Amino acid sequence: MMKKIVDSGHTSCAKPCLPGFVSIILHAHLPYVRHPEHDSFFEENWLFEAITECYLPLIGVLDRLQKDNVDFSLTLSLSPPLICMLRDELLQTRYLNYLHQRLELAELEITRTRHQRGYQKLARLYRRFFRYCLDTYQNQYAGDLLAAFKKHQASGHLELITTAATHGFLPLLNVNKTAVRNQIKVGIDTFKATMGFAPAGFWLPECAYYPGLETVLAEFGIKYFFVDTHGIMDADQTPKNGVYAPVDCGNGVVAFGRDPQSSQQVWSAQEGYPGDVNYREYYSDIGFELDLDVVAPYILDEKTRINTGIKYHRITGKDQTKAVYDPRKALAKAHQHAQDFIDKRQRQINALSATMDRMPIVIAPYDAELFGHWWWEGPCWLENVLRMAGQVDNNIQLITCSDYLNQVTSHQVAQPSASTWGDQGYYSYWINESNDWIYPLLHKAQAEMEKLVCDLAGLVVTPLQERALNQAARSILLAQASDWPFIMKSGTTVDYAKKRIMDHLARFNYLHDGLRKNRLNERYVSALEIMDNIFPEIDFRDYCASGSRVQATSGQY
Amino acid sequence: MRLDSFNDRLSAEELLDISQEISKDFSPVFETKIVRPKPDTTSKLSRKELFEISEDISRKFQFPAVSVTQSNTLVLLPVDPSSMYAYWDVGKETVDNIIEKTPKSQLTLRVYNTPQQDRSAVKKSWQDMPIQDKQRQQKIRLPVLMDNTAYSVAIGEHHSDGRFITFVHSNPIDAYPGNTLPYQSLAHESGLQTKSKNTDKNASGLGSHPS
Repeated sequence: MMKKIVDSGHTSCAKPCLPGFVSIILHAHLPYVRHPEHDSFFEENWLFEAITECYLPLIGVLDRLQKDNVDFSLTLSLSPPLICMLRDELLQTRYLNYLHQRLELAELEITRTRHQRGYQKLARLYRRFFRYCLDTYQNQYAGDLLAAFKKHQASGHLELITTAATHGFLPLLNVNKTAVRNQIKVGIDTFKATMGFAPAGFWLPECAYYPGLETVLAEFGIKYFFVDTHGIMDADQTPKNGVYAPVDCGNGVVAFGRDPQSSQQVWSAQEGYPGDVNYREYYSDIGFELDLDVVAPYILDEKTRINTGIKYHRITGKDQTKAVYDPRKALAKAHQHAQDFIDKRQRQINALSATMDRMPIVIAPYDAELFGHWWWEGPCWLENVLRMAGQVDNNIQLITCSDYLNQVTSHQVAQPSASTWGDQGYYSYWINESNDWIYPLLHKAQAEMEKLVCDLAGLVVTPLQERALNQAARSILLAQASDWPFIMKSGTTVDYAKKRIMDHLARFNYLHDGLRKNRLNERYVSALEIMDNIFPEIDFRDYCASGSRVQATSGQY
Repeated sequence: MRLDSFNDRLSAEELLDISQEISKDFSPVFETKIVRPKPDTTSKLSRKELFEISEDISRKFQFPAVSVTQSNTLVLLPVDPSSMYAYWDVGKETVDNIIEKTPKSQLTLRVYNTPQQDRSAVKKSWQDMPIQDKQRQQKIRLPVLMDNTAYSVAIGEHHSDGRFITFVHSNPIDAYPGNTLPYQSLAHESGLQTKSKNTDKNASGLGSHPS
């Protein structure tokens, strides 16, 4: 995706004054939530809400920018669980049911609000929105949203990258190096098998880095990754250009550091754009506000209130009665906030350029699910930012990290410091009194899996054993997801997170026990394959230390 | 028909429209490869059967709440610049022996720090933490934060005469480079908070609304 030409470390381009780059990265991830053992399952709504509110609007943004020939660059990290869920037939079918239900609810709301003009206007807006989602999902992309992202990658404006297999928190899995290696390998393999090419960049789950991780990334051909600001600022060598130039970890793999200013403007609870009083209030949802008999068919088991996606109020302000949402005002505000973001980047880049020996690059990574789900107007803000940055009268060039590395080839060598982008900046959100009990369990399973695979070296396994071994590898990966300890700490759906981790470990134990004692039940193995059908291409033989892959050649297990 | 004869009849705008229409309708379809698991046994098992098998496995094969590690295991994990987390299993027999044979001794977690460059150095400094016989984990506040320091822990029997008999050693872990905090600040959590450059990140696509 090389776009510009290098001239002694500085880039020449079409813009008259171009002192700096901005790279916007969206990380899209959800835990693997798929329950064919139930007719419907509440947590699958996480995916359906994200498709409706985040991924389809993002595709809409990309399609419109392409249609208008806007020259933009954006990076999107797609996690392997999300990739597998987006291409899953069961979830695709269930998503269409979800969408039809939303449409039905919007229709009912149009009737119910016929004497409340402001509300009815919004109900009509939701009906239009759900119809748009249905049309885009079903007719335009035939349920294959990955194809949409791939189309934009091929256009040269979108760089797709990926992350670890189940978003495992790598520093705390690192008691067993094979576990880390396997998370990275399976993640990259899944991406390659789906997209048809290898990713140049890798999103470290939760931006969690520990010194030495770059060695494993290099083994799988990764060119770059991201760390939080202090990962660069506390590197073993003082970074000459702060976080505004990447560092080479010493083995050719490059680490980019998050810019705190652009991050603060979007993420901050106090100063961030999403908290503006004109924006839609996430917590005001008719699923919680209307009489139970009105919303019963659209909530959980017809009695437990949940979000429906239809929200009529704006944030309004602290301790004030929530006012009715005004989409026009909100979109105007999103435009204004986009202009503010661009202006601040321009000023930032001007100041940085004066002191740096090269053009600065501002790294602005965000969770993709912020845009649309939490921040309803987020996709509009993003579209405005991408359009404004593409205009010739500013000093900003949007760039992907791959393009940057094609243009700037010399980097300061330094090893980043251990860090995450989570609360407090280190590992404490993922290991604390609410979730520390999971690590002895995970580590034991990791060690048992590795030993089992090593013990099989040189032995032939039966087809059923092979299936059980592959399923055991899937079970471990699913138990390792960083989402479970995160949820336990955040206190949201703790019981579900605990059940998921215990279920996956129990499934691993069952398979391990069955393999060791040669008493596998094919019906049970089949059931597990159906329930946990993630990573169809997985090969248990990869679950071994680097360079000692099991060759099944002789003997029987 | 000569090509340039069209030039008079089609404006640049029309050419762009035609180009976009062709691109829209005839661009190659980028279908992603969808791979299904080899044994497609979906039709063989009903939802009810799947649920029952899942419940059966969870009931019979969940790990016990305690003693999940192999005997004589001690694992040290990094948490942040001022703390670590250790979990262990020194085996019931070992603990019972201590209690029975040497009642005046104390089961102890010893925290060592050594220079990273010389992890095998004989001269180490340490801090002792008494632990209970049924205890299986401990959060460790680091006594002194020094750059380029490696930490390890050991569990052993600490006798009243000062002897320390080690049962099990942990893996070593490195202190976070560049995060040297003055000793005094360790007593105050706010010392850490001011170092944090993070905003209210909601990881994993879940979490709290920023408004």
